[in-house]
Amino acid sequence: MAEIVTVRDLTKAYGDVRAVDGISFSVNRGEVFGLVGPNGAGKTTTWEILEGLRRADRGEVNVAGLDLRKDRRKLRELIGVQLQATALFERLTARETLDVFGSMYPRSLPADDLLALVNLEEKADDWTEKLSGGQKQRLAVALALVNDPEIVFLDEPTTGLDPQARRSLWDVIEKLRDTGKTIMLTTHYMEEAERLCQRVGVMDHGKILALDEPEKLILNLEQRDAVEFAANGDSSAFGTLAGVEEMNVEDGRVTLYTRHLETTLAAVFAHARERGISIEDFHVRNASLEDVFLQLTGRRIRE
Amino acid sequence: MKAPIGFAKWVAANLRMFFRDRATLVWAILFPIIFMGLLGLGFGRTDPVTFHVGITDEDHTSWSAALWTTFANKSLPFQVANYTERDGGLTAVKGGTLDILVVVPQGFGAFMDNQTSTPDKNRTFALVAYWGIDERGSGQVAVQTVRQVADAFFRVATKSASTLALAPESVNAQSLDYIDFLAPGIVAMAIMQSGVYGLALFIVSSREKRILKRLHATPAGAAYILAGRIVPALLISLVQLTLLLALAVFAFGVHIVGNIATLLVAALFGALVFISLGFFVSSISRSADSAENLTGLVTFPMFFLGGVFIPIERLPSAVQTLAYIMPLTYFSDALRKVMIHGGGLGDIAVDIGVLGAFAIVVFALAVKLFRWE
Repeated sequence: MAEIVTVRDLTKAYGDVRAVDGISFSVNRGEVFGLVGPNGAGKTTTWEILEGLRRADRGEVNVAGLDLRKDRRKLRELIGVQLQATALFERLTARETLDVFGSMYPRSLPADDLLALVNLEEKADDWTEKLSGGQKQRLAVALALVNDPEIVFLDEPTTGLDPQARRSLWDVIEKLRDTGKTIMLTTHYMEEAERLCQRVGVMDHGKILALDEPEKLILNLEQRDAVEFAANGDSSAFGTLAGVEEMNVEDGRVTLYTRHLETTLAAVFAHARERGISIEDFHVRNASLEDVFLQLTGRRIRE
Repeated sequence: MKAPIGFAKWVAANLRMFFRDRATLVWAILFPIIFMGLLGLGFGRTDPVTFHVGITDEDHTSWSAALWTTFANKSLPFQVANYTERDGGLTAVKGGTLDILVVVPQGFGAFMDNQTSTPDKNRTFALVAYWGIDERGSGQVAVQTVRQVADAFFRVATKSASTLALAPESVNAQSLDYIDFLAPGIVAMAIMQSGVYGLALFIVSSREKRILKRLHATPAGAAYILAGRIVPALLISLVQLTLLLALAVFAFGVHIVGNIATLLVAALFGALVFISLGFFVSSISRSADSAENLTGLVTFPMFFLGGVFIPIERLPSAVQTLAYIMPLTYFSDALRKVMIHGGGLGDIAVDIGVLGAFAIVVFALAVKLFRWE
């Protein structure tokens, strides 16, 4: 498959903080590529460098064979951008917004087609200030498509949305994926990355800690199950119990990873009874991308 | 390339946003209209309490200087101004700035010397007085008053009972009231307010909401984005000009003496200055709040000192210096020259030159400091 975006050793610092710290990756044409990580991981800065909105301090960046320093205009005709946090003129209608942004490109799609794509036909003539959070985000995504771009950059499109609004935005992104566009997505929802992305980079503190297909990242956890509970008492010894391969404790919440679920479960309850530790909110589940992040960083992605 | 159509759409979108925003509509259109209406009703056509007297001294002797001092005496109902050239004074009478122009012809000093040493009733000398005929008739009253003052001066100086001759000449003049002075000032003020506020708040709030950044991600450059905001701002200035002039002419009988095209040129320069100033304010403001404060800080002193309500000449001289670094001073002066004195492009060349230079400097600074986010 042809690579459409290549990034090598990309670095960007703000003062003493290395927002992006020497990352490398490439994206194939037609792929849905995601970066997952918490706020401040460097996802947005990475996207904005690729969009030509910021200059890198160091590293090579290639987007569709263009030189980002010289061919900014061409780059902007080629990409579609949805920025983190919606940015819309409050006193224009949804249709007017698409029209006026479309008019800034040499080639653009009809506003009504785009409104249909993101299920906003009924809101076409409403001022954008009257739209709900989810509707605004869908309009922002439609705006990213107004020039029929080859690469679509979506920066946390579902942050702050309720589950239903999030799912309806996923439908839109899946429709887009089926049209064969290259989609670059950032999120801090692991389930979103698992569902939408073909490959995912797990990012924290400016570095990409792991990069692969979501399933493979989880597989690398060696099919472990995760046992989660809140422990009321000294939890330090849980990590030494039979079958436990790794333990994470955060805010009194214990996560144990095991390949021998039955042995571990028995040991956990025996240990708790012995030490008089009460266990609450107990569940067992399959490992997910969430656990990949926890394993890589020792933290949960959302606090 | 569909750039021209695209640009028209962008301009239209900006116009739409302007007319959908009640707050700016009130500020830009309604407020100046109410202002002019109230002041027009309050200070409309009034009886003069003081006469504006111009003096042209063609004699340049101690006698003519003494006469000057007499006229300038504060107990008289005179506002005295010096005109070195007779023509300049005449224009002022015609334009209504002066009620009367008193010319002291050459030979006055010699005549007075003569009369004080050997009074001779058969020798006469006449001061020339040009007075404006207008519907108010204030020129006529001014002639009587001037005659009395000149006679008194002569009697005291020569200790005789005879009088100094006054040769009155009537000049067709327009009546000039406070509303005539005020109307161009209010137009200037309205264009200033909407230019500075309109541009500064739009840019800063768009930057705060990251809309500028989103626009930056399109192929349209900064010039395109800005021009799309400046063109509507100019159109709005035109709307303000038209509405306010219509009100002044039809409701308060203000007579526009000058050429409308010249007036438009002056208005264009004024609008450009304040749009540039608004752009500059946006470039140095961190937030919408600070932009609002800063526009207030910039426009308020001009509001009071920029020649809108009070003629610059009547301000204390230290304050005058301040007024002369304010663009509104030049703008209101240019509008006034064209509107009530019938000035042409040549008469306002200095004003629009200063406005143009100011606009270029401020705009260049604003571009240099411009930030997308």
